Amino acid sequence: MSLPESDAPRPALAPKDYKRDLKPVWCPGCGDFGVVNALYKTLADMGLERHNTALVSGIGCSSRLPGYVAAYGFNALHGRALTLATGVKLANPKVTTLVAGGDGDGFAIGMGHFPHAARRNLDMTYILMDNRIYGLTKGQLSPTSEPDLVTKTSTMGNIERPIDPVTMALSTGVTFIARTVSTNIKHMTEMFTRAIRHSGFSFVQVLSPCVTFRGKTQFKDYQGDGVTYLETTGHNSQDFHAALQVANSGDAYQLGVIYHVHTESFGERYGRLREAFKQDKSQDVLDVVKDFLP
Amino acid sequence: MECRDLTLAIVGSGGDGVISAGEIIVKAAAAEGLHCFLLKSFGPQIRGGESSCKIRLSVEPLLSIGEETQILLCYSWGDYKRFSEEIRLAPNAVIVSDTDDKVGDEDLPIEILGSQTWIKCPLNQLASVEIGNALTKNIVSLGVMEGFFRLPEKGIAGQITKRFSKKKQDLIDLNLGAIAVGRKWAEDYIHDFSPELPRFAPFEPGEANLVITGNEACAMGALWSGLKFFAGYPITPATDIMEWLEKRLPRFDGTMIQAEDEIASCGMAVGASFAGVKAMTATSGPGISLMSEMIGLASMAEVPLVVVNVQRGGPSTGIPTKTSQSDLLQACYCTHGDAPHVVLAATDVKDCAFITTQAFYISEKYQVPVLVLLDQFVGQRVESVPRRELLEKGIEEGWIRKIDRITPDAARLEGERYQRYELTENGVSPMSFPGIANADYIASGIEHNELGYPVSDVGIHRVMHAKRYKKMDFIKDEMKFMRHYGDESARIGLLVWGSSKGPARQAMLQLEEEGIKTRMLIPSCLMPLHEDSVQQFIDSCDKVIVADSSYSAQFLTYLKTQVTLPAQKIVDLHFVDGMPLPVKELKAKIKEVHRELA
Repeated sequence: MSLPESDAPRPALAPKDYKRDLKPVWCPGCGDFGVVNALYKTLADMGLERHNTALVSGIGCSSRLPGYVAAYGFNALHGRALTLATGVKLANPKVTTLVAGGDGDGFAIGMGHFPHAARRNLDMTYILMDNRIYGLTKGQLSPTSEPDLVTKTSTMGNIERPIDPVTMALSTGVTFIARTVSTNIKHMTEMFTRAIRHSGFSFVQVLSPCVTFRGKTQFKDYQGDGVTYLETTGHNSQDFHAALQVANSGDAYQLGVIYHVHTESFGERYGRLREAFKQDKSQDVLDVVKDFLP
Repeated sequence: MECRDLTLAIVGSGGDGVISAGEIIVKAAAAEGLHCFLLKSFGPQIRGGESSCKIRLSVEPLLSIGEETQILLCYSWGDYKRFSEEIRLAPNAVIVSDTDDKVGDEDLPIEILGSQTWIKCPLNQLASVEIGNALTKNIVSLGVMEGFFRLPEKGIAGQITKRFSKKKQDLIDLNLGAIAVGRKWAEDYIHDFSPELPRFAPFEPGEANLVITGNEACAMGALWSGLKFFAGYPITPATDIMEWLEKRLPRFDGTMIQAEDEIASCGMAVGASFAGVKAMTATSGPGISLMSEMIGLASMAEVPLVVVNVQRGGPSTGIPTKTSQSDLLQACYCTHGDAPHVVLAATDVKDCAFITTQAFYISEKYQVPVLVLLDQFVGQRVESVPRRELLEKGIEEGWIRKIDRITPDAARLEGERYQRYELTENGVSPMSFPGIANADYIASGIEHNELGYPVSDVGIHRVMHAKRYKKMDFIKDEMKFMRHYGDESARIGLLVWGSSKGPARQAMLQLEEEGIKTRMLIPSCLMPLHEDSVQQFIDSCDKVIVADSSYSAQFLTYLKTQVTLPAQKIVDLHFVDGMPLPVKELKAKIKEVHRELA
C-alpha cells in the first residue's frame, strides 16, 4: 500500500493546532490537563506531523489523552497500550509512536508488558501519568499508592508496598528514564522532547495529581519546595549507579533525566536481520512454494 | 501381494528418529509423484517422550489417513502400547521390530502375538556393529522397509542426501551406508517370509508433489495475501506457523515478533493493522481464551485482523498434542458484548492456504476480525499436494489475490472532515492509517460516533451496532462457502465441518461401492452461517447425521441456534478420543441409518 505523499512544505503548527475539538472528561484541576498541554507544545516545538504521529493508550482517566490530541490515536484495552504501540511502530516505523496511561493501567494490569517493551528497546515513548490512585473507578488503591493510604479499598490504610516505576524501569533496561511533574509545563515539555528524540524505548513518569481522590495535599507535594531538579544537583544521567541512587533515595520528587544510554533499537537490529534473510533469495512471494518441493 | 495404497506406522521413544524416518519416506514418495499422508502423534509431554507417526502412500489422491495399519515398524514395545488405539493394526498386519528390544510375551499386546508375519530384525546391531553408529538405527530401518515393501528406493537415498546436504560428506555416506545395510538384510531374509507380504506395486513416477503441513499452508496463504506482520507466542500445535514465518516475513519486508504472551501477540497484530498493514496471529485454544478481549476490540474499533486457532484437546491444558473440534463455540462466542466477527474453518491441508487467503480478503474488505479454525489433525499432518492445485489453480481461480484496504478518497479529504466510522450502505467506512494526511482519527474500544469520538448515548450505540452488524449480512451473502459432496438424490445427509471432511468423504466413497448413497454439506464459513443453504440441505434429506470431534456435540449445539433441526431427522454422532473422526464408526452409523430408512 503506498501512502499519498506530498513534497510541499507544510506550515509550522502551533500548540493549539494539535488540539482536538473534544472536551476532556477530566475533573477541573486534574494534573492531566497540564500533561496534554505540554504535549501540544512538544509536538509543535518538534514540528511533528499530525499524520505521522500515533498516540496509543489503555483505559483510565489519563488513557483518554489520545482523544484530545489531533493525531492518530488508539484508545485500546486496559493495560495493553504497549502491545498495540509495538505493532504500530513495527508496522509503520516512520510514525512517531507515543504511549500514554496511568499507574493502574501500566503497573497493575499492564505490568507484564513493560519489561518486554523495555528489553526490545523499540523506538517509542511511554508517558506514565502517575496519580497513585484509581480515578476513573472513583478512588481505589493503585500499585503506586503509598503505604497506609486510605482509599475505598483500603479503609484501614494500605498494607501493601508500592511499586516504584523508575526503579522498575532501571531494572528492566529502559534506555531513557525521566521524571517530571504536571505543574511545570516547561519541564514536562523538555522531558517529552528529549524522550521522543531518544532513539530507543523512553519512559517518562509524570507526577500528575488527582484532585478529586487524593485531595489538595498531593497537588501541593508536587510543586514548590517539595521537588528537586536533578540538573541542579550535578546528577550524571549516564551513570547507571547514580540513577539507581536517585531511584532508591526515598525521595520520589527528584525531577529530570534520571538515566539514558544509547543501545541499538529493535528496528535497527531487525533491519539487518531482514537483509540477511533476503540474501540470495527470490523476492517473489509466490516462489515460497518451492520450499515444499521434496 | 502388490498394492497401490499402503498404510504404515512407526513407533519409538524420543531420540529414536521416528518422525524423521517418517518424513523421509513421505518426501521420497512425493518426489516420485505419489500421494501421501503423515500424521504425527506424541505422548502428553510434547517433547522428549514417545512418538509415533502414521503414513499412507497411494497412487491415487488421498482423503484420509486410512483405517487400519498394514505395516508396523516398532523400535520399542514399551512405547507401542500408548499408541495402539490410534494405530489400529489390520488383522493381517506385518510387524517389523528390533531384536534388541526384548519384551516378554506376557507384556506384548494380543494383536502382536497373533501376527502372522513378524520380522524381527537386528536394527540396533546392524547400526552399531556394521555402521558403527547406533544413531543410524532409524536409517537402517528405512533400508529394511524399502527392501521388504518396495518403498521408493532412489527417493529415500535422495532424501538422505538432501537432508544432510548442509553437513559433511561423510555424514551423507554414513547414512547411505546405513540404508544399504538395511536393504541387504531385507534381501537376505525376505524369502523366509510369506510371498504375501504387501509390496508397493511398480508405478510410473510423476511430477513431484509438494510436501506440506496445514500449518505451513496456512502461513503460506497468509504470505500470499500480503501478510506483513505476525506476532505469536509458542503453543502446541500452532507454533509451526510462527516458525515458518520467522524466516519468510523479513525476507518480504514484513515483521515476525515473538510476544511475551497471547494478549500481547494479539495486541501487536491489532496495532500493526491499525498502522496500515495486514496482520495475523496464530495460537491454540488457551491462547484464544487470552485473546478474546482483543478480538472484541478489533470488532468494535473495526480493525482488520486474522486469528488462527489450531485446535487441540481441551478444556484448560487438555491434551495439547491431540486433535479436537471443541473450540467451535469458543470461536463463535468468545467475546463479551455483541461483537460481530467471522469464523472460517479449513477442511484439508490445501484448504488451509485457501481459507487463510479468504480470511484476509474478508477482514480487509469488511474491517472485521476473522478467526480461522484449523486443528492438530489438519495443522500438523503432512500431505502431498500437487503444486498446480495450490499455486497455478489458486491464481487461475482467483483466490490468491491481494486486496488493499479501502482508504478514504483523497479529494474528499481536502474538502471535508474525515469521519472514520461514517455510516454507509454496507457498514464499511473507508479506513485511514498513520501516514495519510488530513485523516487522523481516534480508534477506540469505547462506543463512538462517526468521528470516532466517545459517546454513551444509547441511540448512537444502537446505530453503531447496526452499522457493525450490517457488514455480517454482506459477508454472509458474499461468502457462502458451502461445500457439497456426494449424490444429490441421496436420502442420507452428512453435516460436518473442518477437518472431518476427509474421513467423512472416505466413508461416503467406501459406502458408495457398497451401494449406499449419501451426500454431505460442509459449511466453511461458520459465522456468519448462510442458514438458508444449510436449511435447504436438511429439508431435502430424510436423515441428517451431524458429526464432529467434541464431547458435547458443539456443532449440533451451534446449528440449533442457526437452523431448524427436526428431532426425528437428526442423528447426533460426536467423538472425543483426540483422533480425527473415525471412518469405521461413521460408516457403521450411516449403515444403521440406511437400514432404518429401508
